[in-house]
Amino acid sequence: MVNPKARNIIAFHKSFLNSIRLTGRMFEIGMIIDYKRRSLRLFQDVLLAPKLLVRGKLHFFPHRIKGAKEVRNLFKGIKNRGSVQ
Amino acid sequence: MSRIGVFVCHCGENIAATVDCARVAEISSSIPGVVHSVDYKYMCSDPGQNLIKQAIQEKKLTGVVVAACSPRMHEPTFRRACAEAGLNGFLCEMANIREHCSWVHEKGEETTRKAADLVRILVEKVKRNRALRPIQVPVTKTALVLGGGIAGIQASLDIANAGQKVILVERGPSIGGHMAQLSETFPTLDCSQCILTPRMVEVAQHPNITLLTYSELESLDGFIGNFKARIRKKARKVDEKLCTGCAICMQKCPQKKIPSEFNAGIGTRTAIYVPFPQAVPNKPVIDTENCRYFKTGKCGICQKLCPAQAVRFDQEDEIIEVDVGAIVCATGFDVVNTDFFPEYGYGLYPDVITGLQFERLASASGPTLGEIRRPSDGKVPETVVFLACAGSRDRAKGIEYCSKICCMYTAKHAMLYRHKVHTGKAYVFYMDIRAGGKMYDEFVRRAIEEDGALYIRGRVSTIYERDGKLIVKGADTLLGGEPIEIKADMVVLATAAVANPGAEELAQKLHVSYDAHNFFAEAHPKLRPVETNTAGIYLAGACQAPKDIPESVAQASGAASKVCGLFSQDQLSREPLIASVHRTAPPLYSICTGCFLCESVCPYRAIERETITTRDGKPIKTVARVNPGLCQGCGTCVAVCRVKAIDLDGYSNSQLYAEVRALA
Amino acid sequence: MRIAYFPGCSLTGSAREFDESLRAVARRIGLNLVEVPDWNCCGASSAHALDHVLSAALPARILALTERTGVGDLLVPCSACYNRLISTVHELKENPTLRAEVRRLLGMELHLTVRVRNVLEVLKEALEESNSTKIVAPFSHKVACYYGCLLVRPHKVVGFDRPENPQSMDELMRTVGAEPIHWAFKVECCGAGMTLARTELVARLCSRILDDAQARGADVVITACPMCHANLDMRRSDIEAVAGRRFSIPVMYVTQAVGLALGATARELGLDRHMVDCQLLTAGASKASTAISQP
Repeated sequence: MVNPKARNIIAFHKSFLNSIRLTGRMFEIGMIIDYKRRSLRLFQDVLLAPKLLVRGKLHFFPHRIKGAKEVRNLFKGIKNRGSVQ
Repeated sequence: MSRIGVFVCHCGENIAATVDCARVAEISSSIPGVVHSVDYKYMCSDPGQNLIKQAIQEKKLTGVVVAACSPRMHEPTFRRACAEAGLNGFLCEMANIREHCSWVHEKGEETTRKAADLVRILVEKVKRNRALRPIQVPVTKTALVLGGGIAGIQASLDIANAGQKVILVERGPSIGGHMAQLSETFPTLDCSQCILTPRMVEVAQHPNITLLTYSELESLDGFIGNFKARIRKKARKVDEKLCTGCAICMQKCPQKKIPSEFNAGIGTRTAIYVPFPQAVPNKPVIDTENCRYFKTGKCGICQKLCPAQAVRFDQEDEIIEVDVGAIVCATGFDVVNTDFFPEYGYGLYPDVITGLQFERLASASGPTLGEIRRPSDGKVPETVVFLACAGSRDRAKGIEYCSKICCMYTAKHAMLYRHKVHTGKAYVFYMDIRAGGKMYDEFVRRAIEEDGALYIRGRVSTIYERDGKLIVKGADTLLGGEPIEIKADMVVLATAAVANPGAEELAQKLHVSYDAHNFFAEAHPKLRPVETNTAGIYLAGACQAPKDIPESVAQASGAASKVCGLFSQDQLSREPLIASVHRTAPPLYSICTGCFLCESVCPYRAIERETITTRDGKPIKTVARVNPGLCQGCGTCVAVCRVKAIDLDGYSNSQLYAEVRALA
Repeated sequence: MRIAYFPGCSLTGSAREFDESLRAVARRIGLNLVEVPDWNCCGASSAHALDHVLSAALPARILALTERTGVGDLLVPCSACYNRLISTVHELKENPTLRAEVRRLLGMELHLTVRVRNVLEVLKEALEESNSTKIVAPFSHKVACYYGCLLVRPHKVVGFDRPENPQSMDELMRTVGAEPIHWAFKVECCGAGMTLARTELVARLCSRILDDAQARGADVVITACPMCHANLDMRRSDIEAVAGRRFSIPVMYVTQAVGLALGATARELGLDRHMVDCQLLTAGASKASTAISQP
């Protein structure tokens, strides 16, 4: 039902939400890897990533909030209603 | 002693098919007070009516009940029949056994019983009816027309040509209205002033028309046929009787750069000015807010140089009181300015103009003498973009309605531009094309097919300036839904038509209803478009709703015919089913306590205060009094009166209680 | 002035200079930032695009946590987070069914008493209130104030400034000595979250923004949104590739500009974290920037 042209956009959003579901906050590197997996754009922005690392803009490790379980339960509660995920 | 006659109609099959009419007549004959009860196939026919008349005379009836259709159909018929037989028409009532009975029920015993019940309650009512006479109200045969645009002019001429007197009041220094500002009119491309000015002159010279320009309605009192108007004749600071119209004052006035109202702000005028050369009357006016003499006390050149010594700095406003019988409200409309549109620059771009300003550019008497030139640098624009529906049909802007005239005048503007600038490109962004009048669609087709106007279906989201050009960002929704960007030299917004400033105050002075947009309300949108809910006040033109010239003229003639109908009699006859306040002998005089709750709820301002005095004039008490000329018999006052001092003739409290008790 | 503070994911990651500069400014104007403990991601445009209830539930948790701090106002510097939070407050107030659903899912108390505020209005208020603040180095440059989509739209929800040609950032910049220019792309979209999925689209939109700002003589583009900043700054080489020309104009956060005016150092403000060189601006002189984007 999705317009084929929008597949990558949806892939991005799904990767973003997936990242939040796990830790409660966005983990850029994890999100980007997930996006590349979904969109198969393996070499996108490979030159950009080191520049961001050098400037301290990317974390190596995700930050897991204390209430990560609460956030995961939110996602679960919504999924059980039967909506997009 | 009551002697009531009951006449039950079959109405062909309409009633007889479900109601047993003969039985209803039989049941009714045993109601106490009924001395005659018959049924017949068509009561409203000649023989049917004769039955009633004969019975009235033979049986000396004191009241008649006709059980038939709705009174809205034939009440006047049967009342007339009774009157012809010598029984006061208001002693005749109708029981509706058609719309209220036979048409809504199945055939059967219950239906016949219901019909009999309906007859019975009307019999009880009619026993308590009083003979009433229609009310006569005198009529002053002078009409007051407010507004000197094409609608006001047409109405004035029609009324005056019918032999009645007219007072035409116009707020500005000259009559002509917006039509005088137009260059050419659709769909004929007639020169607007060429067809208008002969009428303006006719108005000025007509023996039956008194023209009061630079004047406004100060206050209005009274009621239909008997209005008292106070008109403020604002001080022109020029004696109209002495002025010869030579215009030396305007040439010599040093204050030259005032934005001209007639030129919609893109031309200038002097402080002492005539709005346009063909103005009627061709007498100047001093704009005291911008005049050097009135601001600083210096100058006065116009007075020194006037060969007729007509300039009078000390002239004061004058209040004129007139008696009129009817009022035609033709105060017209205005258009929204470019500063209304934040997405188009908040009015800061001089080359983004309104349709009215474009008319002035195109007009031979305008600031550019008819050449299309950009207001910013005077260059001839090579690309002009026209935006239809600027503001109209837009809930977000608070103007949900369609302004009606813009599709047509935008096509006209595109054509005029192309006629004057052969190499120019004209784009029109539109939502729909509304060209419903005679020859209108053909006109738009001509703009597109013959004059090469490029129509794009879509809206414009924003306009900004870059490198001397106006970047117009819109969309083409017909061919693919693509965004479109046009580098324009000039943009013309067909801005929404709105009510004139001061419309709300005027409506309140006239006590006429108006809507949320300050357009005046007609009495009925379909069947009574020229009347208002206030008797004696009529509407003409765009003050009621945006409309074009042919419709304004038609409505003006319609209003004029209503006025002439009103004036065709010396006296106005009204149905006497109105309220009246209890009066009795001294020392009580009336059970009215003078609380005037009725006065505050009357929608027609028909309740007045009356002071009852002794023979020597000493006041005893102040009670309410119903003005028979204004009261519409709605009964609101009866409902709120705490002591039941006010009652409705023909629907009195005792009559209605009797009806209800008859059913118990 | 004390205010609750929600940095959001970007300000701890790819936009950390926004957070750094905001704290540097806050220190100097007596603005006490009380960070909301254990805050979660607001869901940004992704939750909004994929699931309506999720898009309200994630911000709702943040609001519930804020209520627990006892501070009534919440500063949200990131425009996207700001828009999500204030929209959620608006929607939950208007829609009782959604409100019930979200409360049920959250399992936390939510009174919707928090007032969500953006960085422009809070800075303005804090500057006005603070007596000791001095502008030591007026930011005398020509600035193009770029508001983006989410600070002023939809007007019915955010109720802030005017949606066409807003002036709040311009006024703030004026108070620190800058000369805001009148330009045509103040509220035009930069492409937002399309930065990964439709990079060429973002590049095209941003090239027009930069082109207009530069053509009208701006020395710098000032922004308050990490997404806009990333698209205009981080994506500069993509923009130049699509436009076929160079754009030298740097992009700064409004807090960095204000910070400079208040005397903070470039280091403090994280100015060296940008892709496009901002160095000439720290000198405080009004010069057309001729820096070339770093390779």
